Amino acid sequence: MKQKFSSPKEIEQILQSLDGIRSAEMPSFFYTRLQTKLDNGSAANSFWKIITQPTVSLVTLSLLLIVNVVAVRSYLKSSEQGQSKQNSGIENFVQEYDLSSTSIYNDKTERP
Amino acid sequence: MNEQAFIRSLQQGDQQAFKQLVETWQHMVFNTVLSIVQDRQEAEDVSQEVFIQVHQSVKHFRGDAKLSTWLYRVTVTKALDAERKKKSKKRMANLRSWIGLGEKEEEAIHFHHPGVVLDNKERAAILFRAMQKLPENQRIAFTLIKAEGLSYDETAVIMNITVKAVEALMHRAKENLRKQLQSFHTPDKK
Repeated sequence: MKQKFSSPKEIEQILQSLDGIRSAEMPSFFYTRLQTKLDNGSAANSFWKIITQPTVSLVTLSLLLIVNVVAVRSYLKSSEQGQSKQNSGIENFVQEYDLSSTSIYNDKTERP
Repeated sequence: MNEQAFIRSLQQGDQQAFKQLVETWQHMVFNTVLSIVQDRQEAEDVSQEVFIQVHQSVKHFRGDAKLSTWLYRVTVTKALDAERKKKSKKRMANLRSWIGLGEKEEEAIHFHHPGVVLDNKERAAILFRAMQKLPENQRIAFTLIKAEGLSYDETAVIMNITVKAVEALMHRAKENLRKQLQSFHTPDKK
């Protein structure tokens, strides 16, 4: 398709093409649709209003902090118990197989 | 009812007053938004957002400006926000297509404003397309004066600038549009 650039006269016609424009009209029943959206929005808004209240945020934050502290303490306690149990297990093993005796290579006593 | 009393009714949550506000100003809001976003469905959605914003923030309206001026400001702000969102979405789609994650977004078809006289329909479509590339302030001034039919004085009040500044914006807008239209390709008429 052949194309050409707009001529100065055509440009002025384009610039004046909105002269005498009529206002576009909103489609019918706009208020009804708006009212529905407002009602739906207010239900969702009330949920977020509750959630974003400072007291609610503070209580939630405190609860999270308490839960975290309890979780960390119980973890530390259980890991300490686990450590002592593990240590006693190793000691029993050493005793049972008499692994505490030194090897003959390390024995510095003179032999005949 | 004078404007102050009407604003007080709105601030007190009077639903009848809000309905009256919507019915009085809906066409103005729709026409302004439509001239900026250039899509009927999107214009209706943005118009709804405008009135929701008005409903929520009218209690903070101090009455420094006329109600109509405030409405125009909310309308223009919402329409430009929608335009920015659309542009960034388009940029993302182009980026995704560039890295092979999606298809390139199709160019929007020419917008035909329903209020334009039949003889000017094609020319107006070209003008609306060119208006999309104007800087925001020039675009607002040009839209309010040319598409909404406001005076330079009214536009100056809405944009919170002097009349001289509006004249300068209009002059620069026309210059920019001329430059764009000079390189605009038009198909040969058969």
